[in-house]
Amino acid sequence: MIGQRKAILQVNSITKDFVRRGFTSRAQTVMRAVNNVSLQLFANQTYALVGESGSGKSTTGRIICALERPTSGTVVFNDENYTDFSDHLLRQKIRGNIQMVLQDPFSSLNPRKTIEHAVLEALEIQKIGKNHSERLDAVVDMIERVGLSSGMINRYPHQFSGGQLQRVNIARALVVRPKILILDESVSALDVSVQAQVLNLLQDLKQEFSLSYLFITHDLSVVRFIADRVGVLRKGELVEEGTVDEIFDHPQTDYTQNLLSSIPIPNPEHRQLAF
Amino acid sequence: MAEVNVVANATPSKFSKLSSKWSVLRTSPSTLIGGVLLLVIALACILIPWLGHMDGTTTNTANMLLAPSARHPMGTDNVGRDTFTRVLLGGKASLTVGISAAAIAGIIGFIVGLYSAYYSKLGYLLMRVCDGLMAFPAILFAIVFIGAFGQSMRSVILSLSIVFIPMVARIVRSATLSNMNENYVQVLTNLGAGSFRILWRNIALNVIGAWIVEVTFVCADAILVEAAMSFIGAGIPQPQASWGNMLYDSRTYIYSAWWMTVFPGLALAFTVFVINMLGDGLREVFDPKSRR
Ligand SMILES: Nc1ncnc2c1ncn2[C@@H]1O[C@H](COP(=O)(O)OP(=O)(O)O)[C@@H](O)[C@H]1O
Ligand SMILES: [Mg+2]
Repeated sequence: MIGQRKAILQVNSITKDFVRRGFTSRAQTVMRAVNNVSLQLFANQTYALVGESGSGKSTTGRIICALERPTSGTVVFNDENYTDFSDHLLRQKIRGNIQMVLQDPFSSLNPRKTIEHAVLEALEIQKIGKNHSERLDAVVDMIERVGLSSGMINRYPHQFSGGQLQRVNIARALVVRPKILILDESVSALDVSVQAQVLNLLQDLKQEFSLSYLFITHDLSVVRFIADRVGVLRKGELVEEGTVDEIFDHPQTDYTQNLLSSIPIPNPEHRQLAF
Repeated sequence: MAEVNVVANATPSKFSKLSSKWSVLRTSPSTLIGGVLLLVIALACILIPWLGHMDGTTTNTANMLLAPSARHPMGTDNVGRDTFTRVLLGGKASLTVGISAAAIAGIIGFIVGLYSAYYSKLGYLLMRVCDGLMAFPAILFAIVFIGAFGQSMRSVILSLSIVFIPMVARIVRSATLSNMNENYVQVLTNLGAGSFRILWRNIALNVIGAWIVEVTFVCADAILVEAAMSFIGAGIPQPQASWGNMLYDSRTYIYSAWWMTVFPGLALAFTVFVINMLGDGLREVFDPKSRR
């Protein structure tokens, strides 16, 4: 059904090797973090990339964000292969279009900057807006759009809760108007009730800004709620891919079944964080 | 829950950050006491000789080795100069050396540390150079430097600056490296930020605390090394007073004229103690672990 539509992002057979050096520089071990992974993102859709810890999800996300270069394979945005782009070209054509929100909302923000400053900085880097006051307006709009009050704008990160900070991180990512948002475990650190609020917000924003999400998670309980397609990673390999219903109702591998069967068990650590 | 609490919290502002720094200052007495005492020492060393038109260099054989009295509160030395005056002038010289060396080493060390963390290959090279410099005892390097460039206050300051650059650079580098692992740097890179914005407009803000603390200790160390250099005759040239060369002068009179040893010695020890106290206090103020 999506076969006819054009993908906004194509990941073509990417492989990523990390070389670890031993004490003697001759003894090298190669660790294949991502192995021949292909996937496509479409506008207005969410692709969930799931798998156990260490399966290569984040590395895939970082390659898409061009924070890491693949050992082989290509990444293509809007028909443009940016795999080998220089920093300059990346800045010009890719950075503003592909943004990310990471797991830890606290360390994603500079502790010595107000949230106004943090979001404003994104606009300054991307050179969006004619002048300071225009940028400031955009910042306030976006802060309010993610459900925070503009009166909180001069506060520092330590004055917020994790859920609020993740909203700030979302605001900073979206204020530059990207096409693609990589959400790397973005709600995994939040307690369950806050998680639901942030997921709802993400759903609304996806519609409003015609975004395409790559939703990376080890926790499948939220996937059904948010995703259109699901890819299952195991030791760097995409072992299964399909629509949410296909994956959840007819998992093809034991690995996926195991991931699914671990859903209902509540995580005791999250409970403690919540209260 | 937690979210609601924060929202309910009344209007904060840029002020809250400042006032929190202030309250930490108040709860860190070492910073306050150390800072005030250092200011008092500096003002005394600069203002008293200036206001009193004191002369610390003219010799007067009629006044040789006088014990402390109302006229000479710290006595006179072996060539009849007032020890009190010379202690103050020596303090001025010591503080000038300490503060200048700390400022130069501080600024260069900051830049070197920041960039050597950001560019790993450059950093590797620079850190090997720093290791090489640190392998030299500070005083040995300074003496060789003075041997090559002549004995003057400027040479003393320059040589000590070079000696202390690696100490500052190491602290700044390690603080920068730990900041580079923070997610916010990745996010900035992902937004397209260049090295200048990442280093100077983000990481620098988080490194400056550790830096100030280190610079304070460098200042105290520089004063000590300068005294040691002057004590062996390689520091501030005579007849200009310095605590080190006063101690050098005093060593043959240590039994007959104790004041020649005791007063510059006490002044040196006390000043270094005060600066270290300030440094320890600043460490408390800037250490995130000591905060809530
Ligand atoms: N910079 C790196 N250097 C070496 N190994 C890495 C690096 N980044 C990731 N890895 C390794 O690659 C594997 C996949 O990591 P990652 O993509 O973070 O997994 P996930 O996000 O699924 O937990 C892990 O075994 C990890 O140790
Ligand atoms: Mg990960």
